[in-house]
Amino acid sequence: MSGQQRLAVVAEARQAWLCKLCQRRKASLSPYVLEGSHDSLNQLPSTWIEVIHRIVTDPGRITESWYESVIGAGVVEDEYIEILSLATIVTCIDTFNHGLGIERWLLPETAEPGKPECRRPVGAAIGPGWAPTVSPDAAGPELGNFYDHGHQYIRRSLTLVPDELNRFWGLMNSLYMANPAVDELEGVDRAISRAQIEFIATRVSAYLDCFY
Amino acid sequence: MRLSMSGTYTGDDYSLEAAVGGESGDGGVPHGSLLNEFVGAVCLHDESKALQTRQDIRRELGDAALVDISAVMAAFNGYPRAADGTGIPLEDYKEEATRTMRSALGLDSLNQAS
Repeated sequence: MSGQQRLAVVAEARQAWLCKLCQRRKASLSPYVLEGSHDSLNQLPSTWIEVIHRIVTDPGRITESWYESVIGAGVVEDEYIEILSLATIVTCIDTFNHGLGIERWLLPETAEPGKPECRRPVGAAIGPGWAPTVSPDAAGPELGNFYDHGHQYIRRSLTLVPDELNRFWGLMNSLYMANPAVDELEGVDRAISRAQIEFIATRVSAYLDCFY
Repeated sequence: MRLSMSGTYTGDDYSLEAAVGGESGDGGVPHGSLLNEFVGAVCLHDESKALQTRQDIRRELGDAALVDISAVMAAFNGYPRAADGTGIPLEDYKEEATRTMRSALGLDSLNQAS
């Protein structure tokens, strides 16, 4: 994805919150039944816009058949992962700013020129979900020591695009904790207790309809 | 699940219903009601409520707590999207460990959409 495309994805992720179709879908028991057009910035292909808006506004009800439909409509698997990562990262950062009560960061108007490398890491295969990932056993040099810090399924989710993988987890490790493990209950140096951390985490996940 | 594990570890009894359902209780967590309100305001983009509860958090828990609360809210806008966007399932051991809890809370119905 080019720099300009990446900027457009981030801008569209912010726009998604204003989309009337997404608001109706979020309120619906059957979000895939409602037809219509997204209120978008119209800088990207319509399938990309659909992907961005679903990821931002109703991620907990994304289905395998929907994923397959957007891939079938021309979104390359690697592009999907990059879009997912970008839309998620900007949502995380905007949420952080919103929590603190400060303005969202402004995006640059132009991106640096250059072409994406379009390299896929060795060992990528579909699973454990719908998208191709690289398992710890199949990981090559592109993933470096990524799996040294844990290999729960969630850590495999973005391994198809190692640069995005590193951006995403670099942010997550700062916001939450590096290598969160279920039994990692000691040594958390925060201004709120571990129970409060997990209470907030559970509450936010519930708003996203996610049980993971 | 992690909240439950935290309670098991510390010997406290936390109510997952307060965190997962539409309740406004504190779930047995210190300042849980305030946290609940703030998370709801931010997640639902309720600016006036976010403003008020943010002030309450700064007064009752302090500025450092506000930073940590915001960071956790931000992080958990990330993990679920990465997992749900790629169809990542629960590992078998997590599924087994949380079966009773997920049934009691109705969590298995959350990711079923048509």
